[in-house]
Amino acid sequence: MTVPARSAEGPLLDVRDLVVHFDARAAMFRRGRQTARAVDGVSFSVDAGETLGLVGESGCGKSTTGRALLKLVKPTAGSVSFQGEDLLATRGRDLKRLRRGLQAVFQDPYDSLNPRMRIRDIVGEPLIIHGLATGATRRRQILELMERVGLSEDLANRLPAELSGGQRQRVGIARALAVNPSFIVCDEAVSALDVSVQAQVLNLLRRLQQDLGLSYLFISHDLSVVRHVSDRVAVMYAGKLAESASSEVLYARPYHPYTLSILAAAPVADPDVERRRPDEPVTGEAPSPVHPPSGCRFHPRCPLAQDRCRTEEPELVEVEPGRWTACHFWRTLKDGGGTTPASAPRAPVKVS
Amino acid sequence: MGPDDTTLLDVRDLHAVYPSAKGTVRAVDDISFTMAAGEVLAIVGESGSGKSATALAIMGLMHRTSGRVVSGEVLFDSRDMLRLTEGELRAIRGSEISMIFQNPMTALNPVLSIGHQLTEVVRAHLRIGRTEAWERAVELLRMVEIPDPRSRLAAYPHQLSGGLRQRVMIAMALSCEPKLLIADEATTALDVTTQSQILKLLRRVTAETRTAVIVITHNMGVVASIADRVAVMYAGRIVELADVRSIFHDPRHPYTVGLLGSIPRIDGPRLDDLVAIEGRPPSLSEPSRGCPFRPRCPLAMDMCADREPLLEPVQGASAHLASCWASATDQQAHATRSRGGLAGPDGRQGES
Repeated sequence: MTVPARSAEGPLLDVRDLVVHFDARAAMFRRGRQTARAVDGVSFSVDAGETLGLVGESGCGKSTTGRALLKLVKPTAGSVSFQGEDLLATRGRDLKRLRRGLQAVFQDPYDSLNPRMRIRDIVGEPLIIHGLATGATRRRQILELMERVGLSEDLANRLPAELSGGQRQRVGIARALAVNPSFIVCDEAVSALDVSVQAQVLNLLRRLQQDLGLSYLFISHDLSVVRHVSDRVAVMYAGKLAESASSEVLYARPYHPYTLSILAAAPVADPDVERRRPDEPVTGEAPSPVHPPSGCRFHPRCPLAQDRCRTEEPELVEVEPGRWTACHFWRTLKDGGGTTPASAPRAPVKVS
Repeated sequence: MGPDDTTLLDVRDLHAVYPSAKGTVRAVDDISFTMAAGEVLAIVGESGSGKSATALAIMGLMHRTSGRVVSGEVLFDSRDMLRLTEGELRAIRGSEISMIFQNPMTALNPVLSIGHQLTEVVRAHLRIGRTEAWERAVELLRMVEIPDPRSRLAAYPHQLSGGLRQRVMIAMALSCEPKLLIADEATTALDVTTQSQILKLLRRVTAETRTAVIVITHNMGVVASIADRVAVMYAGRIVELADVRSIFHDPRHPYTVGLLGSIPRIDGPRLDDLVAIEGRPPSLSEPSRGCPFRPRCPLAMDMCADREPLLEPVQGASAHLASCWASATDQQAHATRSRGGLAGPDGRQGES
């Protein structure tokens, strides 16, 4: 149940059977505890220099997955290996060293930047924490980092509130780059930005990847943005991976009915495509992580669901080289074809 | 043009301002447009472009956000909304014009059942009894495709999912058969499958009831899926106004071109770099001269710094308007003539 990246030296990041359960408070006036299965057995890996997109709707567990890798939430089970070392078992000084390689950029730069600190101090703080540079060297590195992300020097003494949303997100990126990481978790990193600014930041992330050989785990609900930035894409549903494949292949020919449904539902910035849009095959909404459905978690909404899907949970298996899907009936989609905006010309969805 | 030539809404030379610490913000800066009955107009733009302020001004609600309309006319069904008393406006709001917002939770009363709130709205505007109102409420929930409507009426807002709450809001907004519905980022907070369901519902219901709709959004995919005509706003102005196909396939304003280029596509070839619009929008509290887009515009010419272009028909298309000197240089004479050459930028600043 894993999605291996293809590399001779082994992947940079390797996540196996990651489980994160939370105690969910029972409904008011009711006794007892319940468990929210936010992430329920997720495996994937990311190569050096690669971008893996992790996409899914709200509550599917994609952000919790990212936070678990960063040890911001405690995984219930599973393993995370980074640069060949077991991240979850590492403590103290070794963990601090490993963490330098693994940084994060979050959605709202305003929430993740200290409002009382000047930009130069925010960008320079990781250099102090990790004891990487002092004095004039640090001052020079801060300005280099700011220049690298497209922030002009005169912003160095400003406060976060004086910057625009796009500039604040650049500060967040500069701060992440300060410790010279090899891997950055981008959690909805461009979602709060206006599209013209979003495009600037996406272009910046791509350039940084080319220049610095960075790997990204790019977590987003925005299917178009994920397609744009990702080499490979993993689709998450109700705490599990539904499917993963190269970006090109997944968007053109999904093998999981959930992937098909979100691709068919995503609005396309083209009125001609929109006017030809077929009715989406899926209705209803995602299940509660406290009471996930039996068998395949997607079966209550799935147009292909059969008895087997209600009882037997499908495993994520490699059905073609590099293509992983967790659906008993993936062949139906393979043979019958599903229409996505990326697989024009469009035809009605065939469901056997 | 819309499906009907009867003018429902005629906005003329509307100026609206907000006070701010840095001075008066010209949120809506001389905009004019008309809408036909039953037409769907999208107002699209980035944050701070004035799209929500335009909606509030039309509803006569600017003062609720401490803003005010400086000048202009908003003729709704031949009455000037800006010159009605608060009592007259209240009679129009909710019955002839209604509005739905991004977060239905803030618009619904958390301690009253859905049925209570729906019947309250129905009875406030229609003279009918309690039982009849209850039946009307069931009918409304059925119209917005809420399963098992009779039992849902007993539910409280927090017991419904985001998608169901937005359906209830639509039911409430359409309960009095308004002539105009304003949807302000109404699907922005929803997941993609739910968003697609709500957009489809809005299209169907408003077409059936011949309700005109103003859709306010930053999402070009939403625009493409629902709009008949599109107004693109930038820095408080409408910079381009045309039918939806022209906006997407033949954009004439460099800002519209940039906006479309900024969006990653879910279909078609993947691009390495997005066509980002460099820089950011101007401050609307400082006096402006010339075209507000000039500092970011790849086509800027000398004259753009001095004179603000007017929203004028582009060559060969009387219903396609754009405000750009570069795309209409050979139309200068026409441009200055049609407004009597009086509404120059300097005169306008004096007012705000």
